[in-house]
Amino acid sequence: MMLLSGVKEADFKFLLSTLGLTNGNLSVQSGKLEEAGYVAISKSFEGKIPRTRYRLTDLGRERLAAYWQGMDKIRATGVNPIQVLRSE
Amino acid sequence: MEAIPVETKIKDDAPGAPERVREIPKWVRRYAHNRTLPVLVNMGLFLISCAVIAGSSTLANRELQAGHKAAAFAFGAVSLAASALWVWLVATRRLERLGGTLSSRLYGAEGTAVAAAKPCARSRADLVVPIAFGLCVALSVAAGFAFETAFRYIVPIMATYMVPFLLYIWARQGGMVAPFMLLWPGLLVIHAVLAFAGVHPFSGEPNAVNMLVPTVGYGAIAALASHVYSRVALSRLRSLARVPETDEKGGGQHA
Repeated sequence: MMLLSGVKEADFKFLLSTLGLTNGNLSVQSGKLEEAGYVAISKSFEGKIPRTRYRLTDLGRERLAAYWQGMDKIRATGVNPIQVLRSE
Repeated sequence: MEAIPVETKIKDDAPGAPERVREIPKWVRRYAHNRTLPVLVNMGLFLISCAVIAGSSTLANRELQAGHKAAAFAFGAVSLAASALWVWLVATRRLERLGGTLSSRLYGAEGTAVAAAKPCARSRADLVVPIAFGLCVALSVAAGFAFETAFRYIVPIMATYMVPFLLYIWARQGGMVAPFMLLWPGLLVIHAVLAFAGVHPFSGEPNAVNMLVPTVGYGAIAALASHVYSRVALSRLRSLARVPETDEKGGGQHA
């Protein structure tokens, strides 16, 4: 999501090569984000080559911003946010 | 649930550390803005057209001075036709479409990331500005024949219409193209000032290099610098975004 927040859209190959994930892992993760409404996925063909494009939705941007606001609040208390999250 | 103790404090430079993750949007933006390989290809096309325009203009001038009017007019017509062709390619956005196709092919292995841009509605200026630019080119070439413009004024005159044109092109991208490309008009202004002062940056003699470098050379430098920076940005981005994954179902952290 952080990757998509910096661009208008990115395709499957870019996410794969940048994140270093496997095809399956990226598909599963992006599917979950799409189900949650955070990411919009569009599939098309350029000639015979399939293209899958990803775009962060407005809801996704809002939730991402809210996530970082929450992290900042936790860090402001001096507590390790990872510890807090694992304890929830 | 009891807190699972984190035995070591997560260091700011560790993969997945919040400060590192927060840098991801910045570096992906910088990468997307500096994908300028298609620009370099367009530079090549521009260089070819400039070579045709400048070459035919030079030949026309020589033929005219030698008294061969027919040949001079023929070369002059070639120069004007090449200018008109370039204007048509820009005004009809064929160059833009070519850039899109080239981008997909040149960056095939990396995939595609499209920079966010402010929407720029198509306006009449998109047609008027390239036409005005082409007319300025044609007029300055014609004036060069008619008045035998002193060489020290050629680049400054060119800069008066080329710099605004380049700035317009950059602005119409809506922020999609990195500020690195502003090196082109910047270097052109410096060259124009030096030429006006009688200093020819590349040779003591007026020659094609002093013409070609400002018209396309500085653009190639700007695009090349931008492309190199995109490699830096991509390398940094990958170092920030890649986190060891745990399993197919995604137990690891992903950016």
